[in-house]
This record gives sequence, structure tokens and C-alpha cells, in this order.
Amino acid sequence: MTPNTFPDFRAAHPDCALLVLSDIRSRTVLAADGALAYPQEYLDAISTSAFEIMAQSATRRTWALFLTPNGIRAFRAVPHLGNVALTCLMSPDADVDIMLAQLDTLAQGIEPWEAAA
Amino acid sequence: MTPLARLRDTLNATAMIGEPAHAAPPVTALTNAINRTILPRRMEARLQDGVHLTFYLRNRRLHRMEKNAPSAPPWNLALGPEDCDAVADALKTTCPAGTFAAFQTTGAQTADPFDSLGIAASALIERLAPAPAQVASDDFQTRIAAVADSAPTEVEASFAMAGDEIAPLTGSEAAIDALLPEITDLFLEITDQAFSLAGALETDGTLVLPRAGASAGCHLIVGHVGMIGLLVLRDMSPGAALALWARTQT
Repeated sequence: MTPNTFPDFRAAHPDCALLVLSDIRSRTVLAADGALAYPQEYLDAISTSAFEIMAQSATRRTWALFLTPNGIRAFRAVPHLGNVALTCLMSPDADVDIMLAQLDTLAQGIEPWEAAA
Repeated sequence: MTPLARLRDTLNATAMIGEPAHAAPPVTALTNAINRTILPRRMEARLQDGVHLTFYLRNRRLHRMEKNAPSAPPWNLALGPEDCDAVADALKTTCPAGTFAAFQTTGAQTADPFDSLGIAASALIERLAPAPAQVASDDFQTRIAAVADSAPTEVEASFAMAGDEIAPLTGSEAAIDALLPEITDLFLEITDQAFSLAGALETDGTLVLPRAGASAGCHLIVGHVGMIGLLVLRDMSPGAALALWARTQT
């Protein structure tokens, strides 16, 4: 993962308006890249949602989708890092299956030391 | 142009020039403009067939409307509250569906006719409001059951939760009994006050979650005012689940 990883991902997937990497145990934003300069509070709220959906239930989930008329949030766990998840904000008509697969590929490329940094 | 780019362009355009009223249906664009105009303004619109309309607005009131073609009252007259019904009918007749071909607002001139009482925007909006649509299948539980019936092989069971009550809507008795403990936990989780998306789920949010354990498929959780519906789907991708719901709601 390089400083260009997230911008490159977004450039390759124009439906992705914001990409956030969160430590869902501490609800901390590890990295983010978006079409707009989102305030930190918003990114923190996304990390909290990721924690609630992915880690709080009895069953640890690997993915989740939350859809509103304004957009879709796709959550994808980074399985080899345990408590780390990616969140992608997409337009309501994005292809969620493709995006989840692409997020999975992206997640697999994140090294443990990068999430710990 | 992607939806995101279209949204960004619309926001940028709105930030620069105000609401792009010409994008709305003509009557809506017009009533919105009247409702938001305080200073004297002359609003000119051209319909797709070339007819040119001029409206004189001030203090959120329509004072006069003119048409470049021969026309009966209330066109080309000073308007007052008593003309509200006639104006509403005239607008509905003159402004067809679609959008204005051109639409612009300029400052009024000193000589422009603002010598009448005018018609309040609120009165016009009320008069022009569409009648409440009759939705054939408005009952939320009926809609959930209709989705389940439309895809019997994919939908294993469906449930609805209102308050603390969970009601099975469709599915075999065996399937419902087997799923109920898991579904109860899931409902309690997503309606917990500490769950940050609970509010959105109780209005118009939709959540898709993987099924617990080794089960393939997913849960499609659909929010509605005061009620949450849940469909248990077999072997269905999240995108297909959303498509199934969207397809049956149109």
C-alpha cells in the first residue's frame, strides 16, 4: 500500500466517492481518500458504523452494505488484520457486487505493518 | 457522466446561481421560484413549443403573468387572491410535463406592473399540489410478502418487526422455527438505541448482511416508518438482493 493506493483505487472506480480504512476496535481512522474533504467527525462516524456492523455482533461479519436514497456504504473486513475494515461510499446505482470484490482485492494488499502504523 | 459527477456538477451549479429551477417540471419550478423570491423580479420562461411567458414576482407573491400569444384572463391581468384558482388552472393547462426550454430571472424594472395585491405562493402551491397518490400495495408487510412470493426459491422466509414484536410473514414453519433465534438477535442488534444506523433503518435505510455461520446468502433488512422488514435470502449476492427489492418496488 502506497500513498497513491486509495486515490488510484478511486480513480479506477469512479463510483467510489470516499474510501476509509478504520481500526474498528478503537474506531480510529487509519487512512482515507475522498472526492471531497470530509470532516474528521464524519470519518469517525463511518468508523463507528463499521465497528457496530462488523465487530459488535456475536458473529463477526466480513462484509455489509447500507443503502439510503443518497448512497451506499460498503463495509469490507480486512481478514488477515483482524480489527481493520474498509468502508467505501458509493452512488446508489453502483454495482455493489463488483465493488465488494474490488474492496476484497484491495484489502488483501494491505500489509499488517501498514495498519499498525 | 457518472451519478457522482452529475451530483457534483449540480451542487456546483446550485452554489453559483441558486437552484437550477429549470430542471424541475415547469409548474414546480415556477411555484418554487415564487416561493423564494422577495425582491421584485421578472421571470421569463420559454416553453418547448416556443410560447414565451413572463411572471412578475415580489414578496413571495405572483403579481402578474403574461403570455406572448393571445390569451384569456388570468393572463395579462393584475392578479389578486381571488384569481388563485384561475391561475392554477391556467398554469396547469399552459405548462406541460417536461421542463422549460429556457428559464431566467432578472431584476424588475421601475415600470414593471406590481400594482396588484398578488397571489401568495403558499396558496398556489396548495392549489397545485398533486392529489395523494394511491399506491396499490402501500402496506409494508404486503410489499415484503410480495417480494417473497415473487422469488420463492431465493427467499427462505420473511419477517417484520414493529415495536418489540417480530412477526413471520412468509416461509415454511420449519424454516421460521429454525431462523427465529438468529432473526431475533439480529432485530435486537439493529434496533438497539446505540446502533448508529438504527434511525435510518426506521425510515428509508436498507441493510444487507451476510447470513451467520456457513449459510450462503444474505439478510435483506428494509426500513420503513415504524417497522422493519427482513428477508432471508438463499444463495443470493448482495447486489442481486438489492436488485430484487428494487425490482419489486417499482
